[in-house]
Amino acid sequence: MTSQAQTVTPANGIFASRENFETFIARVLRIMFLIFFLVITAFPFYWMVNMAARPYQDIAVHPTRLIPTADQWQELPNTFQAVWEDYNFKKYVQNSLILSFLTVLLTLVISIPGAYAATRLEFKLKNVMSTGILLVYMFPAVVISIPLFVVYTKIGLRGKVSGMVLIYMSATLPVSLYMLRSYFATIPKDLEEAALIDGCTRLQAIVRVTIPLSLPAIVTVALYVWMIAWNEFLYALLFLLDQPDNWTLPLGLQQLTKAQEVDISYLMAGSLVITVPVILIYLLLERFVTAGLTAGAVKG
Amino acid sequence: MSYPTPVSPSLFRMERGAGGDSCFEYTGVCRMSSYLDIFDFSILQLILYVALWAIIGGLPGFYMFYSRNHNPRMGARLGMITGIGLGVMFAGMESLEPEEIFNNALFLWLWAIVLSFFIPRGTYNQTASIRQSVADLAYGMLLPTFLIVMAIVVIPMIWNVLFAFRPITLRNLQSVDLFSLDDLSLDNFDRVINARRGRFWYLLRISLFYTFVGSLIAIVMGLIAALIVKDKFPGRGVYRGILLFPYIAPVVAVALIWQQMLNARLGFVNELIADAGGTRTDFLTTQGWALAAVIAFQAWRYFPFAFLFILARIQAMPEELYEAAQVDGAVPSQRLLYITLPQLRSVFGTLFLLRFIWTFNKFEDIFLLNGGAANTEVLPVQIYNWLFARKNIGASSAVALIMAAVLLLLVGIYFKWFLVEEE
Repeated sequence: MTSQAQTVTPANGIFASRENFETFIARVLRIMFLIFFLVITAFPFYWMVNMAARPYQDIAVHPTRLIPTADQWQELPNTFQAVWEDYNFKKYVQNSLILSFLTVLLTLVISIPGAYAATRLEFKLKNVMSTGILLVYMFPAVVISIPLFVVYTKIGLRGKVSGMVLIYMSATLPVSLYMLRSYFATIPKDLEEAALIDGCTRLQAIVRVTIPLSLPAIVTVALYVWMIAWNEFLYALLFLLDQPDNWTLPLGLQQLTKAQEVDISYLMAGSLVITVPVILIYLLLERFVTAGLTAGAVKG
Repeated sequence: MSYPTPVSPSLFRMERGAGGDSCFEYTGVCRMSSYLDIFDFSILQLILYVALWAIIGGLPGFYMFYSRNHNPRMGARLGMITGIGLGVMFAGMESLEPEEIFNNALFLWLWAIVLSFFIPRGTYNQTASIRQSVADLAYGMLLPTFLIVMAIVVIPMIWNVLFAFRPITLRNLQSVDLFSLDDLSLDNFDRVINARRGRFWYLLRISLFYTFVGSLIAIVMGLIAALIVKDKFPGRGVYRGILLFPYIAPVVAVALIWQQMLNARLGFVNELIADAGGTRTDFLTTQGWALAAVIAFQAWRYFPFAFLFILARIQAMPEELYEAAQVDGAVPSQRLLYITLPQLRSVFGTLFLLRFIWTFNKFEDIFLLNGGAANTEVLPVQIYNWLFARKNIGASSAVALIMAAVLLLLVGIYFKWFLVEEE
């Protein structure tokens, strides 16, 4: 490409031709934007760490101190310990973990057979179902939340883990089905048919052939569902607020911000507790997470 | 270093938010519990759960074995064990204590196994065609999804329409008959629209403006980011990864850091402004600035979504097109305008539709940033405020219905006139 550019515009220097000039401008703009995007995306997260490390007194005196001092860094573990024990984050983490893992497990148990049926088996309502999945996926969470709140209150499900798992499942099932279905479609049918001819039952064929082959998609779906359940705030606020024992991390953190006289550094340490697992998992399994984001497009 | 005392739930009682307007009371839920501790529904709940989970667990198992000419009784038994076990485990579970979960599971699974022996032998039909048995299997496998979606999404939605026309509040919830159709009226709509003299229409326009501009900026930012990342440079993989941070990070945490950074007194942004000689502004609660701030937040948080899609499309574009254009003397700006952008049209269309729908329905972002202060009370936040601050379920449903109707109308218009066909 460069050699061709040189044959078209043999002259050198940025003002020699429009090609050269615009290439120069584009390069400058590109570097500027590279820095701009890096700053706006990374800095707020760095600032979280920064403010978590510094005590309130220091933030009040030097609001813009970019790098905490060595002493302040050493205080960071203490701040985390305080958040973990005194501010109950241990409990919130535990709750969030249980809730999100239950959701992942049950969503997979239900969506794998569902997606299998939707790809491999022939039935009359197949197309209706595909459209239905997309429609449900587009549905506003706020609208459903009111009647759910009423019904959950009436039957006493409000504040219970089971109710939350059901809601999170309904929020993630359509996308999980959709993602798994498109992956199952890429697995050759012959493999399964061979297994069936060799005497496997349908269930054995699924467990021994389809599931091992679609492991990447299953990991993607699991991560996607986990992230939704881990980050979810609206339903947690609506249904768990009067049960402080069952608060999830997002709700616990948000309620802590409403409490009086909590140091910013504790709030920031709390933010890190909820953010770091997500970022870590994302960095470790970037391929799967990104696949989930593009295939299913995390609802939000 | 001294630790503050642990936070007790009593700290979270009624707290007045910014503005002094009655609609800015958010944490009234604790107080509400007295209205809601009504009857002991635990038995009804148990039946409901056992039934639901038995179907979820039982039918797929049953169908799977049934269709393959295996022992249907065994399949049903396995399914029921799982189903009833799960159901009772969940129904009995009040909290997230691992011990409680384990004990429930163990005890009730044993019960489920005993119960499963009472399941009658399945009537296996020898003459059923293969085609029919395959379809049966498919329905069986899809049934759990169908049931959950019906129970949690479709039926509540229909119910919501009913609530919008009925005088239901959190106060009379215990006495009201949820299935009654005798007291339908338009009072809720009248209250929601006229209660604050034209404010509803004003806030609807604000919602639309917020959604439209926010989506647009997010897509433009995504485009710029995709254009600068598309060519190789050292550390591109890491850079690309970092760009996605705002999108994957939990909204509660990022809203909090934005609040802190925009804080008038000690916020980083305001400190920089003050150092440069400007005046400190409380961006999130000042008229005008607040809307700009929430739009900026929404663009910041969701541009990675647009970025991912646009980047994928750009990287799929054939290199030959650019080479040919360069030979013909097209300069970089022309290559961008006449080659790259036209190929992205359909991606822009899809992205805008998705972002518009999701932003319009989005509650968390504005609620967590400023709670809808300074005229940023978009429709989802209004729904929440009607439900909790004013404890009016009917009115809340009415706003939800209006929101859904507006959205449906706009999406309809979009599909009719603006949809870009994929070539």
